[in-house]
Amino acid sequence: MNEEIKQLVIARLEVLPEDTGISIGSEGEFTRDELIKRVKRGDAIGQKIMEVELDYLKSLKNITSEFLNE
Amino acid sequence: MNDTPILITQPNFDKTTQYVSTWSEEVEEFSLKRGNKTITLKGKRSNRDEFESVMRKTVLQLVMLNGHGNDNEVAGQDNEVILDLESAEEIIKGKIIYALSCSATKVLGHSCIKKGAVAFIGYSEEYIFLHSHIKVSRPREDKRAALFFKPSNQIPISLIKGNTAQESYQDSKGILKRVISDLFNSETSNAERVCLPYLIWNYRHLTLLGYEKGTLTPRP
Repeated sequence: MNEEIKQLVIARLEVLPEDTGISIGSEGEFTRDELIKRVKRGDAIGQKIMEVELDYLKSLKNITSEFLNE
Repeated sequence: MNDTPILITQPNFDKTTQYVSTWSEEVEEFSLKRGNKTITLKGKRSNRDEFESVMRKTVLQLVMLNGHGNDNEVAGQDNEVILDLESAEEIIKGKIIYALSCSATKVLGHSCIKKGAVAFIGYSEEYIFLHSHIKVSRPREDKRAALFFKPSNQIPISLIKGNTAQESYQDSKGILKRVISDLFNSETSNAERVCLPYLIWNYRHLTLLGYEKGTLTPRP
């Protein structure tokens, strides 16, 4: 299951435009490819990105009512 | 002249601080236009000594902190800690603080409120933003970064306009909501839509502590 989630997050990161930089507070600044490596490695940054992406995916069913119904 | 003095720290030593500080110039410009005394601690001036000196000597009402941070502290230039759990009550009391910094509302924000800050607005988790490498030398022309910093800047801008802490917090969340809603639009480019998880993350972790009705009070 964890491996499936990891692959899903990697697939999502792969669609980031090549020029994308991601700043994660004091953890630093990452390119798309660096983030993919971190997720594959499963280190703290990789885990954080998985958390953010999963939080988003899990909330998709509620997003319509939370953000789009105004 | 409104005379609601504000302080903005603007460290600049890596891409993250370059972006947050450059974008905070929008707040600086707005404040100056409104006739406020606006003090900025740019680059190396964003150190603990200068920060504490300004906080002590000036009757400030609003402090915008830009920099790296964690649960217990916010840093300035070269990651020198400028505000932490040891910071004196006398420099914090009576101020509204907005920390564009990671996790500051977890512990530090509560400590500031206990020491008499009127309100403390910040993030309970990492503040994450996306930008374009192509725009690094001109952060304010970076449309991807604008999706993050326009809503963030709305907090101090709304406070300067005379709104309460709660209204300013809601204003910012309202703009973030609009940005998120617009990104769901089918005409949005992929380059912008990829920002959604991170915008929603920041939206969920933006936190207001303290007196919700606190405002900047123009002095006679």
